[in-house]
Amino acid sequence: MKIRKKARYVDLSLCNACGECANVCPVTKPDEYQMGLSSRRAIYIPFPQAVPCSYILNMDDCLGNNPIACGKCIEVCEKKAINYDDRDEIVTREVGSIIVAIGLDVYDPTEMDEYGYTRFDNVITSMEFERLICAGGPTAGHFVRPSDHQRPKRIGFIQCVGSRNPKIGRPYCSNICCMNTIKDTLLLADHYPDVENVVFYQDIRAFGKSFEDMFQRSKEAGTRYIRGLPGDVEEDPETGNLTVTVENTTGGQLERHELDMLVLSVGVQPPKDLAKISGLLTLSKTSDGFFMESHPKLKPVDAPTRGVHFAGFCEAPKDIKDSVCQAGAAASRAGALLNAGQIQIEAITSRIDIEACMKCGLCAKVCPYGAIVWEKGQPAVVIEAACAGCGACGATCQFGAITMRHFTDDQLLAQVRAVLADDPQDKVFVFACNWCSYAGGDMAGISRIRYPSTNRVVRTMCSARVSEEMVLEAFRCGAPVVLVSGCHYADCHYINANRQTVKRMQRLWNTLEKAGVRPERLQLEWISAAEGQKFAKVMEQMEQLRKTVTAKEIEHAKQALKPKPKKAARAREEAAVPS
Amino acid sequence: MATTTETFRCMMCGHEYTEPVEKGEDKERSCPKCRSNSIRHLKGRPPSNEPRPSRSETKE
Repeated sequence: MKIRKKARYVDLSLCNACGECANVCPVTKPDEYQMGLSSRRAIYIPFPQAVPCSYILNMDDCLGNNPIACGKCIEVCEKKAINYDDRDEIVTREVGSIIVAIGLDVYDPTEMDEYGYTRFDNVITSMEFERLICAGGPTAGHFVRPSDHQRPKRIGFIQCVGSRNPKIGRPYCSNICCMNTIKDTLLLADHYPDVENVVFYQDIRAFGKSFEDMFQRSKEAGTRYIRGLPGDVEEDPETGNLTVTVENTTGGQLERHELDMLVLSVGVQPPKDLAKISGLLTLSKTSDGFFMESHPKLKPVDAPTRGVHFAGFCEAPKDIKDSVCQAGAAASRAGALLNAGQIQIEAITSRIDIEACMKCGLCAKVCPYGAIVWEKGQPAVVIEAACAGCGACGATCQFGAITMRHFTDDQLLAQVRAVLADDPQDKVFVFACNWCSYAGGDMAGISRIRYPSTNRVVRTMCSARVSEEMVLEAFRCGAPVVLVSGCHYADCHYINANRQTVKRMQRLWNTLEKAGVRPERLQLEWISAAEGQKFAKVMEQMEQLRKTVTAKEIEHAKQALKPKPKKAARAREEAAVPS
Repeated sequence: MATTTETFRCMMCGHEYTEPVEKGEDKERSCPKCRSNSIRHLKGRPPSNEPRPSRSETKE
């Protein structure tokens, strides 16, 4: 693993954090830690509790080091700790496990103009509120509003700003905002008993330990909770006061509230570097944009890529307690892996026949784990410890160079032929993935859900293992209809291998159409392990479809989909025929 | 992100529809009419307005 260690321009071993350098620095920049509510210098300590407690010089803000444009900090530093020639360093480390804990980004409410965040000074976010009320904040804990630096007496909180809102692409609950607001109202009630708090909400989600108690205490302390999100915020230009219009959905009335300050309880979102880390470690994301765990119940801290674990917000919105729990679990998982000394891997991995490999590199391209190494002109090589056994590579290789152990082409084709050996016209042929669709069938069975008994299921580890040849072979063997089924996109147990299934299905539909075979005879469905009902419904639909397929159509497909002999084989055949 | 309008056909019910598609998007598709996942992407083809032959018509 290569890590870029950014240049600090200050020697950690020499700096004693006296602060003389910052005192003479002429540059003033908004302080990111204080949410821009105060300023910092180009040389600064990022936040008071920073470890190590040492200054850092932001060269992007500095007037210049080459040539030295100012140099005042160097002049006053008695310890000679400042080094303008410092450079970024690339550190290489060999690691056995990686814990991804890249945190979160806070939602920027600029786009939700109805709340006036960019127009009115006294509309602030919950993060800005946090800085304003903090003893280490820009006002040393003296709570004042930005427009006139007076203490506000009536404060409103709007919940779910950037959460549970599909219109702005954030349908998920941010998990922490309700309790954060409740905590803020208690803090205000404690510090300033004369302050009136109003919370506008759509639901209060106080489901953790002692959370309901906190909510009740907040109400007892005088905070009003109004069910309904404001539609409009107006400002009185003279006083800076705000008027909020809201429909109180409990009583069904339109209400107007005059407030001194409005706090937008902003949601959270995946960090902006998530895509970069995702690419580096071949991790997949859920539809919300957070990292997807290997299994939501059984492996909640493991990434699908072995040896990678998650802690905190990057996996899903969660509060401090849950983050700490997950971090502990991730550390334990990593520790178990490192202490094992050796690891056991599943036997279902792919193997490449170097003789047969045509060095095209397609297998490496489709591997969701990056477990196949390929260089132009060289045969591909499988890293077996990284291979999870989805079989996408085996189904993609056109030259039969890849063998998926326990799910070889020969084994699967033999199953296809065996299933369709007798009365194929009466059967619905199904390829089902091990983790979801096959389990969906089990669920239908154990739930005693009735469905036609005509289906015959061949199990593969992933739907991506089903090659075009296998589907065509089923039609050649007389299958009236074929279903390929797999996990839903978000549930794919092999990161995103089932996207290869979709691409293959598109090609197959084109192939069938070109051959004059009704492409509808081939179907694709995503069925999860819990969707027994869906499994039964799909089987019913497939049975109805099967009944529409005529014997003539089956026969035509058998002939039209016959494999064409390769050029060389054709030439040999022609040469063998006596003229 | 570049968005184009693409045509899709449900292979289960035959419903054809268009949908804006973002380049590189990763989205599970299902038929807006019957919820089937058998969605064929008709690349470069406009949606057909003509009624498709029913299955009984193709039965021969």
